[in-house]
Parts: sequence; structure tokens; C-alpha cells
Amino acid sequence: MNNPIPPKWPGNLLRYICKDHLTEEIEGDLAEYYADWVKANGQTQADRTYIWHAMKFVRPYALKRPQIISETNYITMLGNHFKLAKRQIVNGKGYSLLNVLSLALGLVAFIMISLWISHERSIDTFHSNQSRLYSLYYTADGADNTLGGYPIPFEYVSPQWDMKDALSVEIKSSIPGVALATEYHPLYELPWGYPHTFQLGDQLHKLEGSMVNADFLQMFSFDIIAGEKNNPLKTANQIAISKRMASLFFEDTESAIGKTLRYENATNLVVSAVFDDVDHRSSMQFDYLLSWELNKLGKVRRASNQWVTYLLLEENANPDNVELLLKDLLKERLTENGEIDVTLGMLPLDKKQLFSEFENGVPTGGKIEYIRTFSWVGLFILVLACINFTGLATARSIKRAREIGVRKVMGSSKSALITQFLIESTLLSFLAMILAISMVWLSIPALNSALGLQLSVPIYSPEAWLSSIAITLSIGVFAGAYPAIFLSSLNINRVMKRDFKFSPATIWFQKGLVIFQSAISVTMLLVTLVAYQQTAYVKNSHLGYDRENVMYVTIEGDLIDKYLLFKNELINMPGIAMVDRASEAPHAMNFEIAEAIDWQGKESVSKVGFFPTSVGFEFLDLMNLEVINGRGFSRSIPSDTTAFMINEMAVQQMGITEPIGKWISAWNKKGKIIGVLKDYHINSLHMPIRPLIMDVKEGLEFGKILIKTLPGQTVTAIESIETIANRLNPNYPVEYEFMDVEYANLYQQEEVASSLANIFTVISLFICCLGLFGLAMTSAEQRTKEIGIRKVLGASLLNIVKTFSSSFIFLVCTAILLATPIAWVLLQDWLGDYAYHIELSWYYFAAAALFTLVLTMLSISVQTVQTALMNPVDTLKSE
Amino acid sequence: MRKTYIGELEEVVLLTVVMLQEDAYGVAITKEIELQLNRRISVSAVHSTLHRLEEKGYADSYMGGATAQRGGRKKRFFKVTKLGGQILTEIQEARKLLWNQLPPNALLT
Repeated sequence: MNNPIPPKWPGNLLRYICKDHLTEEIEGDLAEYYADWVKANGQTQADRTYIWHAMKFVRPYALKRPQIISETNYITMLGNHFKLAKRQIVNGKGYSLLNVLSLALGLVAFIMISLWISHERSIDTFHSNQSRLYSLYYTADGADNTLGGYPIPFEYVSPQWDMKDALSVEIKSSIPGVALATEYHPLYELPWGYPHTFQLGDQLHKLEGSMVNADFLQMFSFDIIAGEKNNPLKTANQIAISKRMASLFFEDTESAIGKTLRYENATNLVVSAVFDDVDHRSSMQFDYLLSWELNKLGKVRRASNQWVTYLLLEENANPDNVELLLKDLLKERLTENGEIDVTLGMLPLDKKQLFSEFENGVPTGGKIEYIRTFSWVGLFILVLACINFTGLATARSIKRAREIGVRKVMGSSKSALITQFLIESTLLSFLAMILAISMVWLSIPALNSALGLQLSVPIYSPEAWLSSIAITLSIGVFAGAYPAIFLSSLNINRVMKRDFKFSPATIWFQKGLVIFQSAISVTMLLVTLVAYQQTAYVKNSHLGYDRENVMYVTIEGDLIDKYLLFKNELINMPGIAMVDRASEAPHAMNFEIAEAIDWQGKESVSKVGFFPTSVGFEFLDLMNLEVINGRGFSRSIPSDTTAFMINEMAVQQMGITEPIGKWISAWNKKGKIIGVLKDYHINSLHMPIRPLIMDVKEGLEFGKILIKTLPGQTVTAIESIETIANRLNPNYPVEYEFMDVEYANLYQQEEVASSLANIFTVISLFICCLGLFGLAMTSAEQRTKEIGIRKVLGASLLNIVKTFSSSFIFLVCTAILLATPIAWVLLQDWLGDYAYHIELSWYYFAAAALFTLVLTMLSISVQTVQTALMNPVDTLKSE
Repeated sequence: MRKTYIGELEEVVLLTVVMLQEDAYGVAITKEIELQLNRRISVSAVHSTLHRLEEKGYADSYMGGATAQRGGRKKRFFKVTKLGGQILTEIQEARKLLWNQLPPNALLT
């Protein structure tokens, strides 16, 4: 060989790193020299010289400018990707619509849940001292059970009932690390609270407010906008009012300061400060604040004998140490109570409303459980939507297989293909996000008013925008990853020969997705179905009394003394059927008696937690309560004013067999049991039936007047009530409530949760159907030939529909089988929260399964029938 | 316009390009310099000088003349531009001017 060949790699290297227009001459010149060098020194030496000289070309003038060149290319390609993605989306309109719609619906659910959760979590977080604010709770360890709560019963704080013994004052002085402390007592809450009345001249308003210690306004960020900023509540006759309340009575906030308001037609209070209206993110809501000093004078009608205590720790205080010191603060005081052991604990303020339920005396659950559940629901729906997205894209890849083949032949790299698909999916997910945000934005007002929520779309929050962009991108990548990798690794030869089939792994992947998706939907459907049944059961179950056509007003002001006059006058007015009274609203009794009650035949150790109520003589008739043993109260028997009635549960817990005629001693009076009431629900169905003790007291200074109206005459009845009440109690505006409405309000949390669950179930089912529809669409496309052949061989329409549907039905059935046990466990757990609940029976599961199957059939039938009806001539000649 | 600087190697290479006329490409130039001036320069150095000259506008290039010896690759031929010719003349003139003013025998020691 007369032409020795130089080593190849230096040339390759030069070609790679040098400017393209230089490599030819460089290589040429080197080759020419190489020939000389071989002649002169032999090939080995020449190779070395060649490499040496080639390397010397690695100098700045010859090098490529790599960054600039590849970047422009990259940008061009990116532009191209976008152009193609846009074309793809426009081209497959139906598919894109399905995909974007299902993803958008998933996102709507996700966004709504996120908004709701962030709203719930933001409650009580706006205080500037927020991280140092704590709420106390008590744990009372008794002989039979351990109770707990945030409001601390006053008998634990001061067994002597000395109102001067405020817990906050003692904590502040005796426990190091506590900077400020206050009591907080809302005067409008259960069991005996109601909006109190304020008067200025002839203006009368009923308003909801609270009673606090002087530290309160310094601890919390309720901004004082007028008046005394430092300590507006130091004396008993001072009151701080909200801007709203100020505007009710005065022209402007400034002119309110120093004015006198008459409180409950008894006390004159001077407005010392006006604060901004309380943020709706506050768990404490009030229009005015009374000073605790007023309570010490006995001039406030308290809503109960227990109240919450809040602490503000010092900046460097260790909460654990403070809690340790707090723990046994109340222990010594209760020596005479003997068997009850009361300890104190504390919880950060913003946790208080999340953990409202106590178990064994410590806060364990409450709203946080709803938040956790709904976080999972939101995540599941989002995953569902992503799965759908992935499934649809994979299915559609059949259509695109040839496109990919052509691109590969034209030299597209695998990474370019992956980028292309990821850009397509990200573009779709951005479209979905935009659609979702606008849907949420449009539907939030309706949702808020329907569910009584106060959600808002945080359009001015950069975090919200950033996180939605991040979510969109990750959905695009997450949902597009499988189809991208799958499609980009297709074998060109087989694709171009139309010999393209999904691999078994891909088919299983797709099937798995469908099963997973359907299982989630079936679970949610079941949960919603049972939750709906339970809510309906709760609302419609017979509580043991009639709550239709019953209204009640609070006994206050002159009504305390003029109750009988009121009753006798009202009873003769049009629209009124019956009038009576009770010490607590009968549908939401909450007060458990603290003092020990004695009865004939009591065993010394037994202690029954009675729920007491004092009523009038016609109470049983008005409520339509059933007496199963003995008789009811009667005005004509004088001794009945000292008599008692109890319910079945009380008989059972008292451990007596012949209750009638036995004596009971309670509230410093001793009387006979004259009758036993059939058990009825004195609160929501969350609360089991409790022992009840009832007596007659028509002169009690608190309670509700119950008014039964004639059916269909509510308006007339209201006019009657207003006429009489305005005449007899002119210093108090009339306010009335409907018992059935108030009873339904006890289930507000469930109501919200179940409405949300309904919405989300519909969304998830819809997404699932869209997924099945898309899959059927592609499956039908893939199987047109098969169906054509079947038809040619004589298969009927029904045959084909059957063959075609069976695979889908199989998948959905598997999903139902998987979902049933999961749903069963979840539902058992949830129903366990209710003292009274429906039983889980097979027909809920059957109904859910049937419903899902019907939905499946509907989703796929359009495609199936369409394919089955196709003329085999058309499908088979396409080769 | 500020006069572009031309270095000594650049001057030598450019003169060789002019001298070689139609046959001025990398290998030929390198060999010619070696032959005439007995000066060994690596082919890459000549290349970079040629491209610098081209950048400065003193030389121009065109492709042509593939040979089997080069593995079928084309040569890049260089030729001097009008500007290149001018600067070479200027350098020569300047030197002549200075040489003519040297006192006789001034360089003899």
C-alpha cells in the first residue's frame, strides 16, 4: 500500500472540536505532511508526529464556539416543539378536550381542597405574637372516665365559687415564663348564652360579645382604632366595641369614645375603645368586650360556668417548662372533691380549633381529621387525573406511532422526542391549570354561599402562583413521562411496517391504571353514598320529640318576671298553639350537672352525670314526649313543683328498679319521682342518650320560652310574638329561632363535608368515565380490523358489543373487588363516630357496583356500537 | 483609521504567499519558509497566522485542488489582497526610508 493511513482519532477529534470549515484543509495538510514523515522516519514515528501536530491545532482560532451554536439550535428546536405540540393539540381536538377537561376537573378539586385547607389552617394565625400564644385545657381524671376541654369548669378553679379567683391572675403571678394571661368567655354560646342587649336612647341592638381580662387586647392583634390603646378594660364599667357596633349606635368611631351604653337594661358602660372588626380567620368572634371586673360584681349573665384561659409566654420562655409548672396548679384546691384529679395542659393557639375533640382528657382530633381526609381526597383526585392523562396519551400513541417512526428516520434523537412529548403534556397541563383556575374563580362565590365558607382565590399571592406553576410543571412531567419514554423507544422498523403492537408490559400498565382509577372512584362513590344515607338518617330520624313548628325566644329582661303573663297573653294570640319554657334549648342540651345528686336506694359509690332541665307544666305536651311509666307534671297537683321526672337511661344508671315514688334530692330540694320519660335525644346524634332529670321551675331567671305555632301559620305567629314581646319587654329587641333549623345547624360540619364529598365524587367519577371513554376510543380504533373480520364471519352486533365490553367490565369488576374492603374499613371507622348510625349493608356495595358498571357501559357503549356498526368493507380494505 | 499592526511572522507568511503565487496553501508555505529561511514552523502555527491575516483583511482564500496524497481533501489556497499588498509595500518603504538615512558604516563594529 503506497498510501499509509494516519491514525483516525485525531482527525475525529479535530472534526468534533474545530470549526467545520477548517477541518478539511487541516486534515488535508496533515495528511500531506504525514506522507513525508512516513518517508522520512517510518510509520510509528510519523504517527507520533501526526498526533503531536494535530493536537497543536487545538488553539483558540480553530475551536468551535460551542455555546452559541448549540444554543440557537436548542431554541429553534424548542420553538419547533411548541409549534408541533400546538398542532397536535389542535389536530386531535376531541382527545385534547378530553384530556384537558379531565385534568382540569382534577385540578379544580385539588385547588378547592387546598384553598379550604389553607383557610382552615390560617385560623388564629394572624396575631403578631402567634408563636407565643397558648390555650389551656384541663384533664379531669375521675373514677369512671376522663374528661377534658378548653373551657375550664370554674368549680375546678375555685371550689368556693369566689369570682375573685381568676385563673389567669394566679398563673401570671406564680408561673415564670408567662408574660400575659386572660380569661375568655363568649356570652352567646351554649348552654345558656344569647346575644345581649345594648341601648342608647331609643336604639336597641342585640349583639354577640365576650368577656375578657385586661390583658386580652395586649395579647392578641385586635387593632384598636380609636380610644384608649393601652388598657381599655381595666375597670368594670368600661367596654370596648367593634367598628361595626360603633356604626350601629354612633356616627363615626371617634364620636363613640366616652359615650355611655346601657347594657341589659341594668348597667351603664362607657365606651373606652373601638377595635377593628374581628377578622373572619379568628376563632374568637365578638362585637364587644366586657371587662372581667364586671363579672366579679355579678352583673354579667354568663353563658356557662366554664371559660377558656389563654397565655402569652415570654419571648425566651420554654413552653415545656411552663407546661410542667402548670400541670398541677389546680390539684391542691380539689382535695375536698376527692376522687377527681384535675391537671392542666396547654396547646398552641392555632392548634386549638383543629383539635377540638378530647379523648381521655387530651385533645386528639376534630377538624384536623377532616383536613387529613380531604388532603388525601385531593391528592387522590389529582393522581386520578394524572393517571387518566397518562392512560389517554399512551392509548393515543398508536395513532402517533408512524409519526414517531418518520421522525426517527429523519434523524430525531430519543431525547428530542422525549422533550417533544413532555412539552406537549406540559402545554396540556398548563391549559388545564388555566381552565381549572378560572373554573374555581367562577365557582368560589357559589360554593361559599352554599356551604357557609369564606374561601377566596389568592390572586395577589406570589406563593400561590409559584406553587400552581410548580404543580402544573410537575403534572406535565409526571403524567407525560410514561408516554414520552414509551413512544420514544418504539422500534422504527416495526412501526414503519405497521406491525405495531403494545407490549404486554404496556398493556398491563394501562390496565393497572384503569383498575386503580376505578377503584378510587368506587371507594369515593361508596363513601359518599353511605355518608349521604347517614346524614339523611341523622336529619330525619325520630328524636323522640317534635321539632316542627317550634320556635323559641330567650328569657331576658322583664320576661324573667313576666313569664306567666307573657305565656297567658301569647296563647290567646292568632297562630300560637302552645307556650312553655325550658332552662336550655331542648334540642341542644349541653350542661352536665356537677354537684352530686342523691336518691333513694343510691349506692354510695355510684355517681351519675345527670343532664338537668327545668321546664314548665306543658313542656311534655309541647314537645310531644312520651311517658312510659307514671305521669307527667300537672299544674293542678301542688306537690308537683317539687317533683322530678327522669328518663329511662337515668333509671338504668341509677340502678333502681321501681322508680315511681322514690325520692331524689337535688338543688337543695327533695321530691318524688312521678314519671319516667321514654329516652329522647337531647343533643345531636353524636352524643349518646344521657341520664336526664327534669323538674318544674317557672320563675327561673334564664332559659328559653318555647312556642309551638299552628301548622302553616308561622308568619302570623311571629307577628303575635313580636306584639306581645315588644309590649311586655320593651327594652329588648325580639329574636326568635326555629328549633328544626337550629337542630340542622348542629350538623353543619358534616353538612359541609358531605357536600364537598358529593362534589368530589362526581368529579372523580367523571374523570374515570372520561378515561374509560378515551380508552374505548383507542381500543376501538386498534380493533377495527378484528371487528371487521368477525362481522364477515357472521358475528352479530350483540356478539361484538359483548366481546368488546367484556375486557372493560372485567377491569372495573376487579376494581370493585379491590375497593370494597377498603371502603368497608373506612366507613366502619367513620360511622363509629356517631352514637347512632346506620348499619353498613351489602346493598350499598351492590348499588355502588351496579352504578359503576352502568357508568362504564355508558362510557364505552358509544364507541363500541359505533365500531360494531361499521361496514367491514371499509375497515378491511384499508390495507 | 488606525493602522492594523502586522507581526514579523505574519509579514514572513504574507510575503511567502505573494511569492508562491498560485500555489500558496498551508503545506507549501510551511515548506517554503523552511527552505528559504531555514526556519522551522509548525503547520498549525502557519495555519493560525494565515487565518489571522485573512481576518485582518490582508489575505483571501479559496478552496480547491484535492489530491490523492491528501486523502481526497481540498487545499485552501491563499492570495494576498490589495490591502495586504499595500501594507507590505508600506513596511518596505518605511524600512528603505530608515536604511537610507543610516550613516555609512554605522553598523560595522
